Amino acid sequence: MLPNVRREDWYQTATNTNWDLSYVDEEEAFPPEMTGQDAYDIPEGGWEAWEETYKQTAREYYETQHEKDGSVYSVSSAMEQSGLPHSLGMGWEDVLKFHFASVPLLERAAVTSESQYARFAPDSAWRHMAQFGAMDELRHTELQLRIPHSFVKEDAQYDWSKKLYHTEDWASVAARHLFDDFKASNAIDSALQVTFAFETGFTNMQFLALASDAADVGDIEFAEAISSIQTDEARHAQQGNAIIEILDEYDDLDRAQYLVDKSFWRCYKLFSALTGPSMDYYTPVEDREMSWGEFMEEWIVDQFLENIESTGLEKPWYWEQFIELVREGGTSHYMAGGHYHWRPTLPIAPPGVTEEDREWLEEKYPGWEDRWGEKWDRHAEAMRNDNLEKTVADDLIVLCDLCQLPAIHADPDRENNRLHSHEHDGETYYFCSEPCQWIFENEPERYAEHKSILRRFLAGDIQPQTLEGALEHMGMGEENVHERGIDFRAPEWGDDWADWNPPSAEPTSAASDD
Amino acid sequence: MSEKDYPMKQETYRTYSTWNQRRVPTTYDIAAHRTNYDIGERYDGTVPRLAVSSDEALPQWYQKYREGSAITGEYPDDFDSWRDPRELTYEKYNELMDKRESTIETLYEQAEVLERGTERSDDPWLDFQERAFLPLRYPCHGLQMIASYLTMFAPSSTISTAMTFQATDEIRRQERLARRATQLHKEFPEKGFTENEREIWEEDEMWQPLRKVLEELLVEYDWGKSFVGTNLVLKPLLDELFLAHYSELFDKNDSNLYAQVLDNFYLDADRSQEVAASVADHVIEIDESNEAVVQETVDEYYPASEEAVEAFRPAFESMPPETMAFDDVLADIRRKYDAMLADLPVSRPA
Repeated sequence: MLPNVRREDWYQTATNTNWDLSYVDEEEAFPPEMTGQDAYDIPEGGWEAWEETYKQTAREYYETQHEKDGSVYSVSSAMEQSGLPHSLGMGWEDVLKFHFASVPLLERAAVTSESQYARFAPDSAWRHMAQFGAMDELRHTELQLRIPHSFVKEDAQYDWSKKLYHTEDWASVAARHLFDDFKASNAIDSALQVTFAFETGFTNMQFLALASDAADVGDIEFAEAISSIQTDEARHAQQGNAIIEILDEYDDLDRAQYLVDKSFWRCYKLFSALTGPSMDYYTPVEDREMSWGEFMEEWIVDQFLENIESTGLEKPWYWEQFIELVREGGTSHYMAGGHYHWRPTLPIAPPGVTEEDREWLEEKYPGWEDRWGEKWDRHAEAMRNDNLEKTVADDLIVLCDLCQLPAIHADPDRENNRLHSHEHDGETYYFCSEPCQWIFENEPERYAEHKSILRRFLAGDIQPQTLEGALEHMGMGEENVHERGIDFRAPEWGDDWADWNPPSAEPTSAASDD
Repeated sequence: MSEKDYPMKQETYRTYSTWNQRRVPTTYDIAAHRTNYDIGERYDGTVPRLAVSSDEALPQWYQKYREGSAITGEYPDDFDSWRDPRELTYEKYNELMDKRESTIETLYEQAEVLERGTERSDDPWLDFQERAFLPLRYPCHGLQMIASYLTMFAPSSTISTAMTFQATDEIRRQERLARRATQLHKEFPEKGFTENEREIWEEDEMWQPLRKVLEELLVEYDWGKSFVGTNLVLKPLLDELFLAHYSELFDKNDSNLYAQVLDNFYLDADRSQEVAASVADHVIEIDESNEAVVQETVDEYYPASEEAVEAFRPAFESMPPETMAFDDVLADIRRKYDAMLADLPVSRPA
């Protein structure tokens, strides 16, 4: 009988399956635009040193994943009769609706990216590992489509779990702009952005931090599902460090630095729009422990810095302004206000803020009242005066030509968030921030062709040129009118504020929401 | 105006509205149908539906090799309506594969009875494994790369999902072969197991026709031709040769352990063949002009693939201690191949 062997003995033999092609050109089989080898200065054979820290075989993969799916789906079926999540209230449902609308099909986009590495990455061990990454992402797509599917019978907004990215809703446009940017890259560029900047940076936030909120709220099914997802992310995200190690060895980190700076900022912007409002506004206030800003500091800032410092990379050049933004939570508060004001464009039901919300927000973000309170007062006042429609926008807004989110915080009295602009080929492009402008200026040909919703509107691509026309374009037309966002607390919540004076009641000049 | 009625809770759905077929969707449909949003047109008519400049490399590739494939149809509906006949979800796939791999673990535990006793390093059975069996992990890797490519470039998320599983099937083979080579290396360190297979794959004449057609398929970037050339031609022929008939050969040579491991792999091969025939049937049904494309692609890759199989004559007739008549093997491979095509308007080239 042959001797027994351990995984460590044979793993390298299994994964080192590079060979020299001789019947077709190496370049034809590994085209530079798909692999990325030309964009880096790694000598021949250099990528063969590629090695991930935590290894897993097919045998182990099947066993572990089978068990993990088993736990998640058994919790899920145990919850079937529980009335979850509808019994947890519309606020928590907003968190779920937002999550399920934005996440599962992006996971599917990551199947494509991981499969690109599994085919075109410059080393067989990397390709081998990436295949499990593709499998993981397929799992996440499936899991996060199956769970909300059982909710569409109760609430039509969950239909957007599969629909959002097939529409031209602004949230779809913004998220696709980022993920298509990742996807439409060579394997090395793409993996640096997806596995290093995005997965080691931000999936913790969406899957672990949010799972902690879910556990507090009592949404056992969601907490179980997304924390299980994060265990996969943590494994396949290792690709990023393995790539950087090789680049570092050959002193070839400039491009990686650029890509990490670019994608980290882009992810921050998108997550501020998506996860920030969920954590600070939609999770019921009594179940909120940490704020989005606190989660950011703990999960992203500290951990990402640690991660960056463990490689030869440096922290992004915009770090100081990024930290300031994180602390004041500005982008996220602005987006929460925007979601509210433009709620018919979103498949969630964002509520007006209550007194407890405001106390909590002021405590977590000192100065919140001064900066944002008045906008909510005006909504409340309109509501008391039976002017609900005044709390809903009837116009469009200047959008950033890079991140596709609102380009200006529209606060003419303050210095922060001035509109940035840049000329390219006789056209003026607008940006929400210096980093977004910097990204565009580095590769204008890549981005200039894309039209934001506002540009489509102004160009006449959206007809009729009205807000209804825009809603139709976004997939929220007449047929889907019942899926449009509403304030689930309206109109009563306006009454809560009849005699209310904000804590810092100094007179502020009128600001406009748009 | 009161918003208390919660209109989203009044008018609801029975299933996702992206589902446009008359049947009630199953879990498989919910998980796999229409999940890739970059297929087809952008709102302004540009193909594919990606938010970066259409001059960038990836959009160009999609334009040329996916939406621009020789296999034609209306995007996305024509291709989205293909569904895996086994309705394999990720959950089911893992469950199934966990069982298959546990079976292999059990076989390993029974190795004492199942494994051929090899004490002598000049046993020709060792040379057979080194030269005719263990280099197989390289073409498995090649086939994984192609299946990964098809995951990226398939015209529907349903086809793409089937290809993701197929790519992982290849990986489990690759790993078991490496484990075997390592065992033999430990027992017979002087024989060069684990070290020589790459050179054999790159230079030994028995492997060259296979390496040639595999490398050619690696650069067949049109998704349709890549799929047909791989799944409807090369892979089924190889799986019959290396799984079905090698299993018999191993059995004859008292190497029952690996005979059973190969049989276990064949369960995956069987699924891939079913997927191949089903996708081919589907594309011909959606657009009859695809029939000629499928046939032409079969004609293009069959001769080289058959040559790749034929090169293994020595593996059956002269290398192992107990031999098999290769003409019978070949006839059986052809018979199986014809059976796979039986329900398609496509035939094996003469």
